[in-house]
Amino acid sequence: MASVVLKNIYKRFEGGVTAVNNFDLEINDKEFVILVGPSGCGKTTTLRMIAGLEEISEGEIFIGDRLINDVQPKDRDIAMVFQSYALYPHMTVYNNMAFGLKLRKYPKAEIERRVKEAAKLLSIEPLLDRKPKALSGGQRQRVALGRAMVREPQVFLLDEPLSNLDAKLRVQMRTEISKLHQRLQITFIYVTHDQTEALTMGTKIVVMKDGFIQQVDPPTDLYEKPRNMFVAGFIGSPQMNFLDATLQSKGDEISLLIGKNLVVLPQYKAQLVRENASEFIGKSVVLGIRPECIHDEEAFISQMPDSIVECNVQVVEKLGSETLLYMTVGETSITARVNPRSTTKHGDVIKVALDTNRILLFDKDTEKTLVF
Amino acid sequence: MDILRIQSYLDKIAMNADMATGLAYKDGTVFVSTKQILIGKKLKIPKAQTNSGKTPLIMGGFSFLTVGEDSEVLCFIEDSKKECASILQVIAGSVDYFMSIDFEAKRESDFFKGIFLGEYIEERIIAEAYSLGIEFEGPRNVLLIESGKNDLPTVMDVLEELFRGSDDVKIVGVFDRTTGLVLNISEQSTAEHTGLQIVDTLETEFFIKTRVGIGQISAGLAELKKSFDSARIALEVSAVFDDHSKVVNFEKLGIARLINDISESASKSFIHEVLDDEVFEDFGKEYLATVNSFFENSLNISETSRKMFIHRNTLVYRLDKIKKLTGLDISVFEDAVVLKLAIMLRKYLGKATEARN
Repeated sequence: MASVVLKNIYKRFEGGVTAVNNFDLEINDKEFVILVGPSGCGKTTTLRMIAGLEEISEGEIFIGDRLINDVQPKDRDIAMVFQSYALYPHMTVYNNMAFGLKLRKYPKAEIERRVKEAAKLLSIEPLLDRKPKALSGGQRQRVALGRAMVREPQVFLLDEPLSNLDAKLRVQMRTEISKLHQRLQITFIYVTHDQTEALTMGTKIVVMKDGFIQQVDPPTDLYEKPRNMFVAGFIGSPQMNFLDATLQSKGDEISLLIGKNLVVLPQYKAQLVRENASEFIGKSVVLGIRPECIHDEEAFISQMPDSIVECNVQVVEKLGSETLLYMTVGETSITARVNPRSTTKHGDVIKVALDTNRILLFDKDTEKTLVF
Repeated sequence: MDILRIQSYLDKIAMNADMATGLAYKDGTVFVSTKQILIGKKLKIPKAQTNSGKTPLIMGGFSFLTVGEDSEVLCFIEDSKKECASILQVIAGSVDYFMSIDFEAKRESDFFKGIFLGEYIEERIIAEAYSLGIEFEGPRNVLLIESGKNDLPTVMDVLEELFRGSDDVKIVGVFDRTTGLVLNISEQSTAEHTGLQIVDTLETEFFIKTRVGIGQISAGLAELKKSFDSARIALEVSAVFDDHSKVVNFEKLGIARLINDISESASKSFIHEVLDDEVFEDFGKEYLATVNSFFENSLNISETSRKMFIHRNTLVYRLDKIKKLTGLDISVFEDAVVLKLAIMLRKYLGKATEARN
């Protein structure tokens, strides 16, 4: 059993800096959990506290049923892969994977068993006699994983292991790591600043900012139901669009005034506003909408005449599979992801339709989500 | 393998013990011997010996013993008496030791150590460099790897494997709790990358927490001591002001670098003027944290209050209180610098006093 439980964890450095604030999280056995957030948010510090490489200022960490606050890192049944790993250049792959065990005086037969098992799981058995310079980037990465796997850990800790790889290799290795998790059936805790990596790899994502947990959810829920503007803006690429709008009520209708544009919310959303955000009617809120929910096609516009917004097109990026339109609504910049056959061009003043089912509303002061 | 050194050692043994001795490969070919006639000859080796036996075995008037574990080398004595066993074990142990030491590398590392410790004048450095075949000129950098005392052997093992055979990296050896490296490089980014690799490898493979200090780049061997000294300062100063960076570059220490150069008396005098003990006591932890957060957020009141989860008015009140205590308005850049310096000097002197006591 290798659940990991962090209870009210704090990390304070000298001078009053608190890097991790009241971090409370339960990670189930065999889960693949990702800690994601911008640089300096506390994700690596949290991982290092789990590893025992950083002292805990306050709180408790359990692996399984065991309280590990005062347990030495080498006795925590964990293995780690960090960003700037180095393979021993003059050793074969076999010896690279065996070296740590040799120094820890494991018996030869045991070392051989572990190395061969790890090599099999990673599909690097044919490479055991090769040296690192004869390996591709992806193969080296797998050797680094193998070096950690031979410890036969209960928990695998990975800190931005793909950051030093080129974009193509990173995509390839993401799949490899996901497959490895499925094969090993152990708990993975993975740190990254890359939200795409987080969304594609994890079953549970922990978004962090300034040492605090912002939201813990599976990828889809994070994407569709962010709890605040930070999560909404951080997750998703291109970033969610944010527009200042005034929430208005007229009879049964709830609408949003964005400059001169009026967007009417569908009935069920209007009901949600009345239930959860009635005090904001007549006031300024922030409207959030994802780029793929803004449409320039005539078919969509004609179906949603109550959600039209006029925009000035600044830049058009044709990416083959899609086109990105960088536009302004008044002073505010927004991005739309539209059909690759779109004929919109730079300088056009166009009308776009917002998919009102996908509009989110945020409190301007607290930045919390009012309505999904 | 230093054959000459081993030969010299065996010659001494042979002289004292009055018996021929030597080394052979596992196929029986003799490659070192105190009896010249045996060199190149093939001795009959007992089969059991090729399986790394621990006790000497006898064949054809010779006693044999494997050197070390998994070794391809056997030592032998031209004698089959039982009394030879203990001599053979001593020889095997000594030869194993000689085989594990790269004497050339040791000489180089002693040379660099001498430079670091300021033991050589320039002329001696030039002469030794010439004799070792080391370029006198050329950009170099010193890295110091700090770890726990008990971890030093593992740190050395890992460094030796990471940089085995490298012409660009020399492992110098151990000073207190630090292991020194000399890198042939001209860019600090390379040194930082190397430092990160060392830290991450030690942490992930052996759970050894380390820090790496990077010195200034020296133009040649004559300035290498400066690089060593600056790497040391980087570690010492960052231990006071920055307790979570793994790799610390002297050239990126910023104002902390100057703190080290200010004399104790000048520091005390400055502290007394700006932030004496009485004022500092009134400050307390809360105000110190406020000041530090304000500095970290570039003297921005809104951002600081947001990060500290206090009301803007609360922060303004605290800044006013600080002004009353110190006479400094830290929302003004110049006053902020003065207070920052005073706080840093207090901290640095405090740690220095702790270390002395």
